[in-house]
Amino acid sequence: MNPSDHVDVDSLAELKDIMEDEFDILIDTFIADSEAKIASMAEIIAASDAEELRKVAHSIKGSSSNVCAAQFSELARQLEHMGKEGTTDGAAEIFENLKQEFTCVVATLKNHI
Amino acid sequence: MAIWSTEAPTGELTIKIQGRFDFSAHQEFRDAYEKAKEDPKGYVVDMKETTYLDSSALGMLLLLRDHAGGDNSNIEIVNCNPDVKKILTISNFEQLFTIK
Amino acid sequence: MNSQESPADVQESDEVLRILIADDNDSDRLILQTIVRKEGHTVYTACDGQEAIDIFKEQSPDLILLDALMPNVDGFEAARTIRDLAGENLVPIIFLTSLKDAASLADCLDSGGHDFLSKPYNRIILKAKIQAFARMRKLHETVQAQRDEIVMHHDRLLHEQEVAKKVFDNIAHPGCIDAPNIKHLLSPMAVFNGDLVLASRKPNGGMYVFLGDFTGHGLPAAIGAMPVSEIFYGMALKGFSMQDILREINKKLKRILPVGVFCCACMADLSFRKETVEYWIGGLPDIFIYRKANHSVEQFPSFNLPLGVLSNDKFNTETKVAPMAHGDRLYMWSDGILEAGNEAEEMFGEDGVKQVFANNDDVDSVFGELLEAVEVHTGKMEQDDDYTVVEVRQVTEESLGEYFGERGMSGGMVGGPIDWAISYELRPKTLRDFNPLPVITHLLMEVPGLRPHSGKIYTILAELYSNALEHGVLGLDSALKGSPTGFAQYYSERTQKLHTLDMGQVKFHLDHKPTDVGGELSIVVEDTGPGFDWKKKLDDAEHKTEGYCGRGLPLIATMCKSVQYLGNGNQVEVIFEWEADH
Repeated sequence: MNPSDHVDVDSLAELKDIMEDEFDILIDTFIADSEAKIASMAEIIAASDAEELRKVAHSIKGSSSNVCAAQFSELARQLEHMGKEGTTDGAAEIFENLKQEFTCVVATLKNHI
Repeated sequence: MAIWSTEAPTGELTIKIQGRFDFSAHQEFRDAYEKAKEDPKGYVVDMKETTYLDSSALGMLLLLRDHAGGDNSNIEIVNCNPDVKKILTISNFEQLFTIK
Repeated sequence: MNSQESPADVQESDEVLRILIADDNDSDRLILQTIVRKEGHTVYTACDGQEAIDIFKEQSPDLILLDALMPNVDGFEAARTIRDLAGENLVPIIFLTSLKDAASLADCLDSGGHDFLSKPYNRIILKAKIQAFARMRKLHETVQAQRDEIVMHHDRLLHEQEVAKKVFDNIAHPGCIDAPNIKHLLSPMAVFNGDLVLASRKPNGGMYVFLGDFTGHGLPAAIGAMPVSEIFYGMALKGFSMQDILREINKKLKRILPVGVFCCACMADLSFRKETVEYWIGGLPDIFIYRKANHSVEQFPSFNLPLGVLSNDKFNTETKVAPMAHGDRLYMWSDGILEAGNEAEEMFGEDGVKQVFANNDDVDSVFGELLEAVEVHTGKMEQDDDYTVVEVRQVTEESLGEYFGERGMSGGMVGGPIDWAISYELRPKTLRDFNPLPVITHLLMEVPGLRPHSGKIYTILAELYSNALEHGVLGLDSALKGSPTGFAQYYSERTQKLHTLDMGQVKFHLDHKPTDVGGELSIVVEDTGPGFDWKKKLDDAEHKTEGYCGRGLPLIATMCKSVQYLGNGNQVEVIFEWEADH
C-alpha cells in the first residue's frame, strides 16, 4: 500500500517545516491521543452511547485532518454522523476499518519523524 | 440639501437651494456668492426646490444682503412655497428683500 | 495547562498580539500554538471553555481562538461569557471548528464569535484573519477613544454652560416672571437655546412682558440675552416707554451681534387699568388673545423685522393696541412650539395650537392643555428646538399686591430711605427734551413699601409737571384743548415753544417722612410762570365737574390727602399719604 493513500505526504512535509523541532512531539501527541480515543470508542460502541460516539469521533475527525490523514478523518466523520443521527448500529464495522486505517497512519507518520 | 449658483450674461447671480435650507447649508451658501467671479449686478435666490427654512437660513440671507451692499443691495427671493413664504413674512423680510 | 510563550522574531509592521488558544485536542492545540507563535504573537493556551474564561479574566488577551466543541464549558457558552466580560471592548473571537454545516457555523457567529476557522488549519488563512481582526480591534479602539473624547468635551461644555447659566442668573434681574398672572415654559438652559422671557411691573402701573428668540444656539445666543435682560429691567423699572426700551435693545443688539444673528421678539405692555395690551412683534409667530367672556381667540401677526437687524434710524417702534379685559389671556411663543415635530416629521403648527383653544372649556387650564398637546404630538421625541411659551393674564394692579419678583426693588419695610428730602431744578435746556419723571419715580420707588402706589404717584407727578411746564413756563392756554382743532394747535405750540425755550425753570421739592402705617410724601412743584388766580379756579372746579380740563386738580385731589396752591399760583403742594400693604 502506498503511504500517500493514508497520509497526504506533501502537506505533512509542509507541517513538518512549520513545526520544526516540535514535529516529533506533535506526532507523539497525536498518536497517544488517538490511541486513548480509540480505546474509549470501543467501550462507547459496546455501550451503544450515540452521543458520546459523536463527541469522540468529532474530535478524531478534527485532529486527524490536521495531520493530513484524510481517510482516517473521513471514517471518523462517518462515525460522528451516526452518533449525530442517534444510532450506533453498524458502528462496529466502520470502527474496525478506522482501527486498521489508524495503524497505517501511525506507520506513515513514524516514517516521517 | 444642495446649492447651485449660475451667473447670467446680464450680470445677475442666481443661487438655487434644494431641500432644507438650514445651518448645514452655511458654508455652501456662502461659497455660492463669495466665489462668484465678478461682482454681480444683482442676486436672485431661487427657492423653487427649497422645502424648509429655519432661522439660521434667515441669518444667512442677511449675510448675503450685507455682502451685496447692505441697504444698497439688490436681492430677489423667488419661487417660495407657502411654508417658506410664511417664515419670510413672519420675519418681515419683505422689508429687506424683494420677494416674488 | 496554561503556558505563556514569548514572541519570536516579530516582523516589522505587524502588531504583537496576545492570543488565547482554547482547544481540548492536544495535537490541534500544539499545531495552532506553533503557527501563531511563529507569527510573533504571545500565546496563552486553555484546554476547555472554563479555563478559557479564567485566563481571559486574568490576562485579557487581544484575540481568542476558541474550539467550538469542548468538555466542561463548550466554546459557544465561553464566547457568550467572554463577550459579557469584555463589555464595550472588542475582543475578536475566532471559532475553531471542523463542523461543516451552515447551521453550526451560524451558531458560532450567533454566540458572539466574529469568524471561524475550519480544520485542517491553513497557515495563510489564519495569518490573514489574525491581521484583519487586529486592524478591526485597532479601529474599534480609535472609535472608542474618539467617542470618549467627544463625551468628555460634551460633558465639559454642559458643565461650562451650567456655570455660565448660574452667572447669568446672578447678574440678570429675575423680574416678576413668577408673578401669579404669568405662566411660562422655558427650559432651564433656555438661555443657551437662545430663548429669553422677561417680565417687569411698571412703576406707573401695568406690566411689560418680553419674549425673545435668538437665532442660533449656545454662546452667541446667550451673549445677546445678557444686554437685552439688563436694558429691559433697567429701563422698565425707571418707567421708560416700550418704544424707548425696544429702541435701546435694538441699538445694542445691532451693535454687538454679527450680521446674521438677531433676536425675534415680542414685547407686550399690559395696562391693567385701561384693560388693553399694547404690543410690538418682530419675527415671532402670531400672538393670541383668548377672551374669557366668550372663549374667542384672536391672533395678531408680526409686523416688524426682528431686533438687531436694522440700524436705529430705520428701526420701527410702531406698536399696536388691542383690548384685553380682566381674565383674558395673552399667548406668546417661540417658533419651537409650532415646529415641534412628530415621528412623521409633521409639525404641531398653528393648527395644533388652534385645536387646543377649540377644545378648551376652562380658560385656567389652556396652558397645561397646550403643553400636553405638544407632548402627545411629539410622542416625547427629542425636540429639534426647545420651545418657549408664555401666558399672561390681564389682572388688576391690586391683585398683584406687593409682588415685584423675588429680588424686587423693595421688599418689606426693612432698610431703605424713609426719611429724606430733595430738590430738583430743571433749567431751559433740560426742559426742552428731557423727561424727568422716570428719574424721579425711580428715586421714590427706593422708599420701601411705596412701590404699589407707583401708579398714583406717577399720575400726580405727570399732572403737576405738565401744568408747571405747559402753563407756567410755556404759557400755553388750556382752554385751547376744548376743541379738536385747538387740541392739535395746543400741542404744536407746545413743541415749537419747547424747542426754542431759553428761560424759565421747574423745580421739584420732594419730602418723605415715615408714619406708623406707611409714610407721607410731600411734592411741591414750582414754576417761574406768572401763576394764576387759584382761588377762583378752585371755586369753579367745585361747580363744574364736567368738561373741566384746567390744571388736572380734580383727578389729583381724589388720590391725595391734600392739594394746595401757594403764593400766586405758581407753586402747588400735594400731600400723599400711604399705607404699607402687608
